[in-house]
Amino acid sequence: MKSIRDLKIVSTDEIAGGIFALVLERHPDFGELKPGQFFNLALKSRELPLLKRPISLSTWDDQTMTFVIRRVGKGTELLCAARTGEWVSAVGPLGNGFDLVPTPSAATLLGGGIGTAPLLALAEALSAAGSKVNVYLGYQNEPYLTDAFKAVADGLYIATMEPVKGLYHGNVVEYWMNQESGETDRHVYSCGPDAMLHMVQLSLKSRGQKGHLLTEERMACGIGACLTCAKPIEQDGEVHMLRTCIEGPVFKAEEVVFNANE
Amino acid sequence: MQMNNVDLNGLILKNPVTVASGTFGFGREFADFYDLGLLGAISVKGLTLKPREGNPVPRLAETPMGMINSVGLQNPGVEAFIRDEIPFLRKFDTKIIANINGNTLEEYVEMAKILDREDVDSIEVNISCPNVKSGGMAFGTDPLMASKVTAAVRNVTSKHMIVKLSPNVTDIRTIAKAAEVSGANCLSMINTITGMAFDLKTRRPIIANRIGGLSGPAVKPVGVRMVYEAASVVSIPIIGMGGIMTPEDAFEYMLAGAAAVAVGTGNLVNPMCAPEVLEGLKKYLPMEV
Repeated sequence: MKSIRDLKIVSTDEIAGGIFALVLERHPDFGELKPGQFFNLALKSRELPLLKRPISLSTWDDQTMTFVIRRVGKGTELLCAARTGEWVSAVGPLGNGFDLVPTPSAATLLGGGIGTAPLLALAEALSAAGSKVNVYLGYQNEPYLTDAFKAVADGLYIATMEPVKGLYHGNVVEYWMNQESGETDRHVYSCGPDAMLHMVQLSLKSRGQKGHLLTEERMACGIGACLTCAKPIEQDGEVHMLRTCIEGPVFKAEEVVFNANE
Repeated sequence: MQMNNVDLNGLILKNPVTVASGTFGFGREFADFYDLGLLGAISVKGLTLKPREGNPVPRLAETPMGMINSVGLQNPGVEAFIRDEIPFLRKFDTKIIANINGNTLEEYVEMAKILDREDVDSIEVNISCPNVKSGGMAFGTDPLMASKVTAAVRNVTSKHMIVKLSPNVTDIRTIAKAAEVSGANCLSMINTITGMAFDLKTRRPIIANRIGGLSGPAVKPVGVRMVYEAASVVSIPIIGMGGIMTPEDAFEYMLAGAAAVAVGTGNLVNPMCAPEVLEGLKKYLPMEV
């Protein structure tokens, strides 16, 4: 159940340049967790910034929860620089998460950059439920979390935007389109920058394929009160501003309206 | 100043801690965290006559010790509020304040007429929303307009009426006085201060609507000053708000002349903020027997 708790930092580790794995103690009051859910986190001892930062769960076990964080601004900088034993104020679990009932018999996961992190728990859950899971991960130039994905994926495909020896050079969505050109019955789950998700949406539409997108938006409270994280979502022919933190962050691929401001 | 039986000129709160409109949804979002019956009152998300989808995103920019928002009164409309939210809120032992917003004088009047028949404890006339194109703040920055809206709403309802004031004015005292003489039972202040922030990379405003409303600890000294000034010219009670994060912040507003307080942005930072402010206030305020 949604709670606010102070959690002790078990460890922090820079797993790639500017990318950190933050491991926190898991509190029993949070109850069951779902892949695709997130927590609103801030270093307890901070003076600034005011607001917490919404960070997706990457994985968890009975004792701990792992968040993979890209150092972007002040809030994430403090979380990434924190040390074992310091305290994090955490509100969660938040958001709808991925609904895995019914479990697809075959799934394809498409992750881009820091958007690869929330797909790890999803890959684990799908694999445990008997789904055949192919994972496509796209990075700028430095892959991370790939060993963890390898442990649960039936097929793992890595692409980088800058040339890296031994890896596919180019856009991960194009990589997937070419590799699985005929396999349109696989359920697709994707998380990454908006431009990537938009491309996934268009690809799925052209292939007549089903999928879900894990989206993000600037938000303050994370619990549905402030309405700042609203996202235009088309359902039954009407566009409504839905809360990324409550009705999302996972939406059906065809529902998300991209470039609504343009 | 007291901890119980806080009389807001006809509306009695069991304690002086309330929550500010627009930071608390319709309460449901916080019911996971604590018993809403702990609160003196809940001012619900700003209502309009018809449902509104609000402004485009981004709607949020964080600034030093504060945040700028431009939500644009996204809400399900007054009818949905009556049907879906009042029955939920009535399950808790707290007062319900309906915050109303109009594009025109007639819309304020129409909403007040509708709510006059409904089970709400007070109507808060919001003449201070900075994030809508017409109406809103335009009514709250001119004493004559503030007076007209207040009097028009007073004319159609016998309910307790709060007028929520904008800080975006040169002299808050004239607006406060105008609301008082036109029939307000109580004032609430301050709404957000208009503000702006740019993204240095894109060289464009962060917020899609360009300008939004600044809230949070950054605005507290402005709110305290305005409550102090308003309290010097009106005899009706004031609900003080703007950047309250701690019991000490709340007590400061009361020292400036507020009879009650509202936690706003604090709710968004820490969902337990309001009950924590309430608990901490007990050491500053007496209980009246």
